[in-house]
Formats: sequence, C-alpha cells, structure tokens
Amino acid sequence: MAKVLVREAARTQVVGQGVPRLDAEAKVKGQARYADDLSFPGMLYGKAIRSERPHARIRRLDLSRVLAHPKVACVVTAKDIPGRNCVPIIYEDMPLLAEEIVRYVGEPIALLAAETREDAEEAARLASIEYEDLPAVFDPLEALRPGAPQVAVPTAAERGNLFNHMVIRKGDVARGFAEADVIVEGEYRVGYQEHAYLETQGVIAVPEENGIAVYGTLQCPFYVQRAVAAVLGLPLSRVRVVQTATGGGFGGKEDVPSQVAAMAAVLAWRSGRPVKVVYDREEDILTTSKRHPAIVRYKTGAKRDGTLTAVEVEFYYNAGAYQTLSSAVLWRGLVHAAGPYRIPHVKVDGYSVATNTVPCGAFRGFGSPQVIFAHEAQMDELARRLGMDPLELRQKNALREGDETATAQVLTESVGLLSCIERAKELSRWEERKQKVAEFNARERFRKRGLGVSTVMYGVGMGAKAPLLDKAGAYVKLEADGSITVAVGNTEMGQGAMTVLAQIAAEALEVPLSVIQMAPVDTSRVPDSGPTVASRTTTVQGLAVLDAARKLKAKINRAVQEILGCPAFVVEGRSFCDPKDPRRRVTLEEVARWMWVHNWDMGATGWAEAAPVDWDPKTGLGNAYFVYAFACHIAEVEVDILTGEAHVRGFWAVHDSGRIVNPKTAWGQVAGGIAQGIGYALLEELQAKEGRILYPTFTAYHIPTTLDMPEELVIDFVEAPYSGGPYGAKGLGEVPLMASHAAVANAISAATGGRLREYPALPERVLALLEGEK
Amino acid sequence: MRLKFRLNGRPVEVEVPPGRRLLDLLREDLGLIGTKEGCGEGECGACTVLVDGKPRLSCLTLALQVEGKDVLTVEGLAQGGKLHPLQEALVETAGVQCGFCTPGFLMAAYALLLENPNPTREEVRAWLSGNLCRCTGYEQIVDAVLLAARRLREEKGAES
Amino acid sequence: MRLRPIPAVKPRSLEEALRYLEEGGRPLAGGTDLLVAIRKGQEKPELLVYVGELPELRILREGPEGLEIGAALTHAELLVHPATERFPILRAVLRTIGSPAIRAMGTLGGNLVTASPAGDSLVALSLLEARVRLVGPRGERELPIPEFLVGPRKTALERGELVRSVFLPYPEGHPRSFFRKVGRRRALIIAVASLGALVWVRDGRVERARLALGSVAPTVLRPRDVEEALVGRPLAPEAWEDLVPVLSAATQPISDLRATAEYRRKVAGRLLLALAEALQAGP
Repeated sequence: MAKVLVREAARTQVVGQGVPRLDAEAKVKGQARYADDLSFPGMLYGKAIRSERPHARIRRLDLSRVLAHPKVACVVTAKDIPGRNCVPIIYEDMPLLAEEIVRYVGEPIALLAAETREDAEEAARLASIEYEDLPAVFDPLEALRPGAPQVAVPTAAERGNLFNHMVIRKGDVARGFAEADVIVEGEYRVGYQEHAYLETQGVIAVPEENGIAVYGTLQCPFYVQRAVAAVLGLPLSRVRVVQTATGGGFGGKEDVPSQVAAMAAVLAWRSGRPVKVVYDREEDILTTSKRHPAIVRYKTGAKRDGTLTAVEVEFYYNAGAYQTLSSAVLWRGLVHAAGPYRIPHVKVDGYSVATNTVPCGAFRGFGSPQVIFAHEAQMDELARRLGMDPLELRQKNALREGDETATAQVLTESVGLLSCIERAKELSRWEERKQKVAEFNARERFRKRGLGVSTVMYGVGMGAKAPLLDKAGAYVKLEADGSITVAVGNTEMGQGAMTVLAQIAAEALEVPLSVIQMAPVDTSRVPDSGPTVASRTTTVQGLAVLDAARKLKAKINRAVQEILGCPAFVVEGRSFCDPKDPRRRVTLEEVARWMWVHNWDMGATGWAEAAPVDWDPKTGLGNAYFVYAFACHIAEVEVDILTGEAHVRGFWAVHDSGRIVNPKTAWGQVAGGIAQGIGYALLEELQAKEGRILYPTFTAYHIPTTLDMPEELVIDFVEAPYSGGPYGAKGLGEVPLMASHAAVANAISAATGGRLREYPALPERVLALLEGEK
Repeated sequence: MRLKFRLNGRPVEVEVPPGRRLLDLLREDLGLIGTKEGCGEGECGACTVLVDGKPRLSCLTLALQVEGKDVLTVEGLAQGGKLHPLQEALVETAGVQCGFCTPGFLMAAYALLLENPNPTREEVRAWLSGNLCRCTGYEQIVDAVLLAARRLREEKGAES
Repeated sequence: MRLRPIPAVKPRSLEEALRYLEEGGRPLAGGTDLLVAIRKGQEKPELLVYVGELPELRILREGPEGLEIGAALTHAELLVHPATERFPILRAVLRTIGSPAIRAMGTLGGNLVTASPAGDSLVALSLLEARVRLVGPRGERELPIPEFLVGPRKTALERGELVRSVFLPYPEGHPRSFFRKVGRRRALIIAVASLGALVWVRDGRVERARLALGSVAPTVLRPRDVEEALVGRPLAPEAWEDLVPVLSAATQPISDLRATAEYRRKVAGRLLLALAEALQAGP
C-alpha cells in the first residue's frame, strides 16, 4: 500500500498543500498539445540523412535522387546553413551537419523536407554516401592510449581524446589509508541508460515576418533560442521559442532539442515553410543523448569503529563523439564522488573521454548515479568487513550541520541526512525486517531475500561550474478582471513545476490558487532564465516568482489602502476588509478594476540568481553548491536462485528537500525516481557494438512496468528548511533516482552473498553472483 | 475505402486507405490528437483505444479492422463536460505527470472496469502492465483506478 | 518508421479469402506480430488479407473428443470462454502473453503462423498435443504441432493455405498444470526460457508427465526422455536433481539479445526443480 506521510504543520495556506496539478485536467481529456499534435498550414516534414559509419571521411555525398523525389521540397547540406554550422552547447565542437568527417553512427550529414512524413522517410533512404572509413575507438580507456584514433575536435579537448580531467585534492589520502583498519577496493561499471521519455523529440519551426518561431518538446527554451540563432545567423531577438506540452525530459530534452530545432529551423528558413521534425522511437534511441557509460574505481578506508578515513576515486565517462554537456556532467560526478559522508582525506580524478559513439549528455542525476553506485557499494563492503549494520555505518559518517564536504564546503544549514536515515529505519521497521529476511532465507530453498540501503546528497542548482546559468526571471500580471497571469522561463516537463510555481505565487499574493494562470513558456516573455535542469526550478525560478509576486502584492496593497482608506486590512479569500469595520470590503476583482481605471502599472517583474558559489579547479575545493538535498533509501529484493530473476518487493524512501511545496507531486517525483532507479539497476540495457546501438526499440530496452514496482512502497519527507529557498524549499527532482538504484544494487548483493559491480543486474548476472563470482 | 464506424458514440464515414493505421486515421484524418504514439510497435500502450469495449493498440490496427465497430478514444470519456470518474481520480491522485501516457492508461483502465468493476490492487497492477509510464512509478495511477472503481460502484449502488 | 498504408482487403467469406491468398496475399488477424515485422522491414507483403472476422475462423466447438478453436479467436476471448476451462494449462499460458491489449488482439492462429521459438501459446498447444487444421486451394488437412512447426519461424503452410482452427483433445484424467516463463522483467516480455508441464499424479508420485519448453530450441521442445524418467518419482525437487543436466542437454538454445545460450541451457534444466517445488506445494 502506498502512503503519503508528511509531517510538520505549515503556516502557509497554499504552499505545503497537495493541490491538483494545474495541467492535469487538459491531460486527462487528451487536450494537452504535444509537439506532434501541432500543425501549421503548408507544413513540411523534415528528416536527417545520417552517418552509417562510426568514423569516416565523407568521400562523396550524392543527393541527386533525394532531390529528384517529387515530394521533396528542400535539401540542405552544411554549405547551405545560413549561419554557423554548429550546435552551441558548452563547447562549440559539434557541427549541425558533418562536412568532411563523421564521428558517430547517426551523425547528421544532410537534411531534407518533404510533403509528408512517409515521403521524408522514403527520400532519406535515397541518399548515396561514399565513405572512407577511419580507425575508430569505442572504449574510453582505449581512446586515452597513445596512438588511439583522434576522435575529439582538438579545440574541445584538453589533449588527445581527453575532453576533461577534473580533480579533488583534500587532505592526504596516503595518511588517511595509513590510519585505516580496513580498506576496500573495487571497480564498478555501468552502461548506457536511455531516457525513454514517452514522447520522442519533436519540434516545428515556423518562419514568421520578423524571424522564426520554434515550437517543441523541450526543457531549455533559451538554449534552443541560442542554437537556432546561431545556425540561422539571426539576432536572438528574431528567434522565439515556445514550449509545447512536454512528454517527459529527465535531462534528455536539455541539450538535444537544440540540435533538433536547429535542423528544423534551417529547413524552414531555406524552404520558407513550417517544418516539423519528430523522431520515431528508433531514431530517438539511436541518435540522442544517454546517461554516460562509466568505469569507476574506488578505494575506501575506515577505522575499526567505522569512521571513514580516506577515499580515492578514479572514474572515466564515455562521453561520445562531441562535448555537449559532458564537462558539466563530469563535474557533478566529481563533487558527488565522496558521498554524503565526513571524510578527511579525499582524492578524486574524473575523466571524460571522446569515443566514436553517440554523444552522451544529461540524465537525471547528471553524472552522479555512476559514482553513487560505487560509493554505496563501498560502504556496504565496509559494513560487511566491519560486521556493522549498513545503516549504522552511514549514520556514523553522515554529514551534519557544521561539517565539511569533500570539497571543504562547510554546511551551515539545512542538513537533514540523519533525520532521513532515522525515519527510513523507523518506517521500514529495520531491525524486525532484518530478522524476517534471515528467517525467510533459512526456510526457502529456491528464493533468497536481501536488504540494501543507500544515502545520498545532491547539490542543488548549477553549482560553481556554471554559475552564469543559475538565474531566472518571472513576470506577474494582474489582469483587469482580477485574474493573474504568471510568466516564467523554466518549463514543465511533467515534474509539476508549473503547479508548484503557481502555489508560490498564490501564497505570496495571498490569493486562491484558482486565480493564477501560468502562461505558456515563450522566450519573448521573460529574460533568459537559464535551463530547466539541476533540480533548481522550485528554488531559483520559485524565488523569481516570489520576487515578482511580492512586488505586485505591494501594489495591490497600496491600491486596497487607497480604496478602503485605511492603513491596514485583512485578507479573506478574494476580499480585503477593514479590520475595524468588516462591512467595508473590496474584492480582488474590484481592486483590479480600480487599478486599471486609474492607469496603474499592474505588472511586476521578478529576478533571482542563486546564492554565490566558488570552486578552485586546481584543488577541487570550494563552495560547490549553494545548498544540498539528502535522502536515505532502503530496498528489499527477492532473487530466484534457479533463474537469477530479481524483484524489488519493498521500498522505503525518505527525503530532505527542505520545505515540500506540494506533497502529492513530490511523492510522484520520488516514486518515479525509484522506478527509474529500479530500471537502471535491474533492467535497462542498451546493447551496442562498435558504436552501433543494436536494438533501438522498447521491445529490447526494458523500462519497469507496473509489475516491476515494489508491492510495498513508502515515501516520506523530513523537512530541513533552507533559508535561501522560497518558503524553505530546496530541490528534489533528481535525488530519488540517484538514491534508489544503489539501494537496489546493495540489496541484490545482500540476497546473493556476492557483490554486484556492474549494471544492470540481469538474471544472468545475478546467477553468476549466486554461484560465487565475487 | 469508404469506412463506416462509430467513434465516441457518433457515426463516422471517412474515405481512407484500408491499410492505414487506426492511429493515423484518428490523429491526422479525424483530428483526435488525444491518442498518442510512443513506440509504434505495440510495446508502450500509449496508443490504446477501445474497440467494441476491448483494449486495442491503434498503432497495430488497420483502418479496415474497425469497419462497423465502436471505437472509443480518450476524447469520448468525459460526458457533457463532466470528467469520467477515472479522469477525475487521476487528477486527484496526481497520477498524471508529463501526461503523454495518460490517455493510454485511461483507456486500458476503462476496459478493465468494464470487465471487472471491483479489481484488487494486484489485478489493477497486472492489467496496466502493458502501459509504460516513465514519470510516475505507477503507484498514483493504480491508486486512481482503485478510487474510480470504488466511486463507480457507489454510483451504481446508489442508482439501483 | 512510418510506412505508407499497405494494400489490404477484408474478404467477406473464406472462399474469397483463399482466392486472395492464392494470389500471394498474406493473412492478417490480430496484427500484433505481422504489422511489427512489416514496420521493421522484415516482411514485405504486397497485400494483406484480413481474416480476423471470418465466421469460419471464429468457431469454438466442443466435441466429444476435444475442443476446436477457430484460428481467429483472440487470447482474451479464450481466457473467458467456459469451453477453455477444461484446459487450465492453456489459460495459464495465455494469461502471461503480452498485455491485455495484446491479448485482445492476438490469436492462436497468428501465434502458430509466426512460429516463434519463444511463442508462449505454442508451449500449451504442444503439451495438449493439439492438431492444426489447415484449409487451402487443395482442400483441408490436419497436422500435429510437431509437423506444423518445422523450424524457427517456419511452418508447413503451403502457398495459399490458411490456419483455420486448432483442435485440442481433452487430456485424460486431471493432470496438474504448470507454466513458468523466465524473462528480463515481470511483464511485457519475450520469454528467455519457459517450461510448461502437464503432470498426472498418483499417490504422491508422478504417474505420467508431459513437458514442453519454449525459447530453448528451434521450435517448442518436448523432452521425451525426461518425461519418461519422471515416471514414478516423488514430488520433491531433491528427487529430480539428476534430471536437471539431462533436461539442459536436451535443449538447443541460441544466444541472442535476451540471453546467452549457456544461460538458457542452464535455466531450462533448473526449471524442472521449480516444477517439482510447485507440485510438492500442492494444487
């Protein structure tokens, strides 16, 4: 049975309430408009002609048969791009269309637009490309060897195929290990994780009188605006990006829509007609970003009583052929590598490496799940070696207020980790459950159960690697009839952002939620608000909404004072009244009308930027993030020892994300993150060979179904409020995924008596663990 | 072919190639965009509709297969501007996140309640196992179906 | 990929359907296999002949010897029809196929024609020693399952022939039914290995057994030697251990995207212990 347990009474009216999502009604009626649901008169369908080779020189590109197709309206190659041939992300190494060299299977070489989707697909197959194959490399360790084929565009790499190397040097690990009584070491590997958002990538570019408009499924409209302006050679002011209803993102619609939109925009610009580009599932899996495959090596030392003394980490991320977001992904992995623990001596080396594979990018957790798998496995191994309860070991080392993180950041407030652990222990009836599992295992012949735990921390926001992006704007407008429009620059991708932001606005304006309408996100409405990523929307965009709402509230208050002729008044629902004479009252509608008649400015803009952060790249030390969120997860799994099949039976998750604005949507975020974590640890495998993804379908890539979810799922929040967030809120979105897979992995290890060192724990791998492969 | 069938309770007559996918017929020819394509090969359930009261994947159904049939899509659930109890319950439990899988879940759940008005939690989980959702972890969707089932039974009890 | 609409016809009678088939048309019933294969470019039929609603293919006839099931009845229809109550193994298997929507579309006839080595319903048909009734330009004929399924995705169907129905003889007495499918997740999967069984039990021992395995050989496998070796054994996993390697050795698995041959071989044998455990636990 699912239960929502939220404690701590709030003094707020709307914030803290599990109100229904604002977008739910349109979605249950089938009226929400996603990218492929929009059409424009004269619209063409765009399609990319893509590389079939992982690394090759294009000898000859013959598009004559494509051009001859009667339904093809427009064909574009690199030389036809009106602006720069580049999809700008962090670096500018990735061309929109390959010119001489292709670096991965699926890289776009040319584009076409045709009258129908079927015509476009048919025409794309008529391209004839002659390649001269170049030596290719697919493994990050091989790519770093001297003499490896050069994949990386040299201007985007530190050297050779090394995109980035980042470090943390804190204390002296040699001393730390000398002080340790027990040292554990291990290498851990993970493959791709595919976002598998249910709505594939899709945009429509529409030429307009003064420029171009782009409608699409996307997380970061201002990234798309920049990319489209670059490829068209237009000023940003002539590119307008409008977000359509977005069927899931999880990071997969952070940078990729820039590429898709740039394709559609170039075709639209060249043809003068609207162009829709919507990927089918195969194209989406084959050509879009994924979670980085990784090789992670850990060494952790502890004293006999469990006190951690040192950790040394080396990890390699397979970035794919272009930089995209890899440097930022690597940095988050680096900062999170030591886990939520007090460790005096820390040495971390992270490497992101270019290979001839599809570029990897953002995926919920953003470079942290790979290292979390490893650090939580290490904690478990330590607990086993020390004969300690794994929760107790974590309690002993958990970061507390006043402690220093691995980057020597002192945590001054809002550290709810210990409360998370205690609550998770209580909810799972930990001691009793351990006993029951032991009894089950003694009794059953063909089934074994195991418990696993994980604790994580999460740096909210962009952090010190990209402080320029950690900002947001908002515009709040009182309409003449008393309704209120709120425009923001961050997006709704399913996570519930618009509802939470509306709650914050309603709270600050002291109006019922029903008065608030969130405007569709459109880059022309508010200043560049940075990306919708890094679990920062509630905090940073929320602060901007709060700022605007408070300014508008001050105006409304002045108007009420003038109307009622009294300095103070009380708010009752939609009315304001004189406390001395409750009959003297005025409604919000009347106030709005009054302000309109008197030509008042009824709008207010808001702005927020994240609290300052700093970081020294030489030592990896500094205040990496403005605040951290925490979680403790516990999983119970059962494995079938005949077949190796594993199932998560029970799951207990407790989060500290500061004040929870909407407990129902927060609950859903956690449950969804647990599902993705179960998928990552147990089910999801994307097989690839020599840079080719072999089975790009949902038939082969298994995300969890209803039946893969635990029968018992308990989720709770402990709230350690953050003074810098709106009403005390921190970030939540990514954290559940980060914690869940590691708890499942540790439970698999416990049930099998082995040590899971590679994801996913498919039946064959579990069987090997059971048979003593350690 | 000249195809005649009933769509959301109304007779429809449309000229369509017999081998056109029902999904495309609904979305592109008839403008009912509520039915979604998630994978195109019957693995995600986003395109689920009801044909004569049974769930069907419209991406693997050809136009000629609905000749003379009764087709129900998500657009046909709300009656007279009032949400169907399943829709209402999904709103209440926050079983909708990105919403792209939602129409498919609604249609699958609707078919379940036709067949079994009083399902257990396990029965709901089993029945919905053909519909993929990447956002919710399913729990709040299952909660919604159980809630709607209870309300529908109560409604029915009140009527009789 | 979105294909242009495939030419398709809906014949009004079996005769008309057979004429189209003779001209090279491909029969379409539920579409759950064929339309996916067409989309992937694995099949390129010139004409689809929709036979899903032909009355001759939708019969369900209970006779004295057994049940005749029209090839175009869907799994969902069979699961709720009282006539299939006498075949618990069929129901146990059908319940695990795909999803409710797939079961409301897919048909036994379609599964037979697809002839996938992983076809779950074929395990049940094999255990029940079903006979496939075909109709074609040269009239009708009947084939036992092993003669109909000639290889992976290969059947004995000749050009212009159509599966009309499947005949299931009533099993003698009251055998216990067992079906276990191993896969990579708990729903919506293609079996990595499966074991179905009908076991006649007397006085706590196996009197007679039929076993059928899916996904571990070119077609459904009936390991006759293991079936015979089980006779007389008590219902206890430890008393069957010696047969695990024998059953493994009887398989001819391949490695594919879902599992290695080695895993399939190993697990196929071990499923025997799961069967013993289930029998031991009682009906």
